[in-house]
Amino acid sequence: MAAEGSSSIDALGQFQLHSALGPIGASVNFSQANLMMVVAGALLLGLLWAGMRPRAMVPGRLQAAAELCYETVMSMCVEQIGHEGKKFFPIVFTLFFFILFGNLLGVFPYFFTFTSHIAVTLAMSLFVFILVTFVAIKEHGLHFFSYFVPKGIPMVLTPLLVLIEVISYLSRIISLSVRLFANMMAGHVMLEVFGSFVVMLGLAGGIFLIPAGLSLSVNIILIGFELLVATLQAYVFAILTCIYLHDAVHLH
Amino acid sequence: MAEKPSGDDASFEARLQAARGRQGLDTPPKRPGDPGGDGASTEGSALGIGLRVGVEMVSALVVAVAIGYGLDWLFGTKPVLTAVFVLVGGAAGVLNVWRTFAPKPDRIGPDRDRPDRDRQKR
Amino acid sequence: MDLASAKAIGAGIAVIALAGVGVGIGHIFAALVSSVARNPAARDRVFGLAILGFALTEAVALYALVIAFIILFV
Repeated sequence: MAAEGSSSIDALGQFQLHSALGPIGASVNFSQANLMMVVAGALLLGLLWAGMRPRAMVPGRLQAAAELCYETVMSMCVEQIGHEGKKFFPIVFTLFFFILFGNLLGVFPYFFTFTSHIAVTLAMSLFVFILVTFVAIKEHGLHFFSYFVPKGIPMVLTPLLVLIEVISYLSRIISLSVRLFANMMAGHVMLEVFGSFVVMLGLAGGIFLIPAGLSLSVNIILIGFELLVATLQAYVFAILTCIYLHDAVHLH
Repeated sequence: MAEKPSGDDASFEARLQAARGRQGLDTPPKRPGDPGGDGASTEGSALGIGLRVGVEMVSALVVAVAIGYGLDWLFGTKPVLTAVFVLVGGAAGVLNVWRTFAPKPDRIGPDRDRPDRDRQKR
Repeated sequence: MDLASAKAIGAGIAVIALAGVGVGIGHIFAALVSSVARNPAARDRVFGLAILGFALTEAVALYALVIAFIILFV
């Protein structure tokens, strides 16, 4: 941010990937997104391992937190998918907490939100889509395709409605990924824009310090909002995965 | 011991219900409405609902336009199939939104609150 | 007039359709607010229908947008 006053705010430059970890990182293109994924995974594993190590009957705080994590996701799986939900617990747990930690770590300064790249969210969404389709085909065989034929409509309309249903099914990939990506990217762009306002107005000095202070308070509120959106988007991703799995296992 | 039969009945019903619930034999678990930006679909904030509707509709349209454009490119019929698939994609988007926000019909089946209703049918 | 400017003008004219869409959506939600004000208990049922109406109207807006893009880029 040049002191002469840049005339435009570089809102999207923060998402550009550079290589992290010096020359070793540069040789394998290990970017900050990869670094934050490793940090999120290691943090999650570390917290769970440290939490479950005591194995006390009356849990201490960390063990209670780890058990709470288990209980939340398990109840989500069993309540949404039903009796067979227990099979899908590991994948839903992994997805939920990976996205949650990724989103939350991005709120800290100088850390990168790896879920703010469509490549990452599209990969996760494609994974969920392929998982759900595979489970449905494995469970119901060729009867799976009856999912696309809605009942109780005149025979003439069936081809059109099948086409519409297929497109609606395929659109899950895009909607799942774009929801997470758009929320994360928008949040960080807002933080960057209001932060730039603070710096630009603060440098102008004098009477402009008042709007600078207002922008700073907006930024503070936005950080709180970011925390809410981070948790919520992780929860929405996980619960939609459970709902799609319910559709795959039951309603075909 | 005079009250034991009724006490027995009530506890048996409770245990039967619990066992049936564990086996998932009763009505399928109730699903909360798909959470919008802020929780249940009918109670979310306006921004959350608007975002949810927007994403569902646009994603269906994007998929349909992609398919239409691809088929056009494959068969050489430049705008015709794309236009058709735009209409289909719009309909698919509206279907997505309807499935998320439609008023849920009342469920038919044994009530969880009245465990003896199922037995009375026999 | 060369092709590029004709395309730009065509795309601009195509999105005039959004005026009608704006009026329509405002109408739907005005009806929603007045019906919930008359009968607050019906809120959940009426809300689903309002969102359906909103989605249908918004679909028309998206058609206009897609046509504008087709004019501009295809």
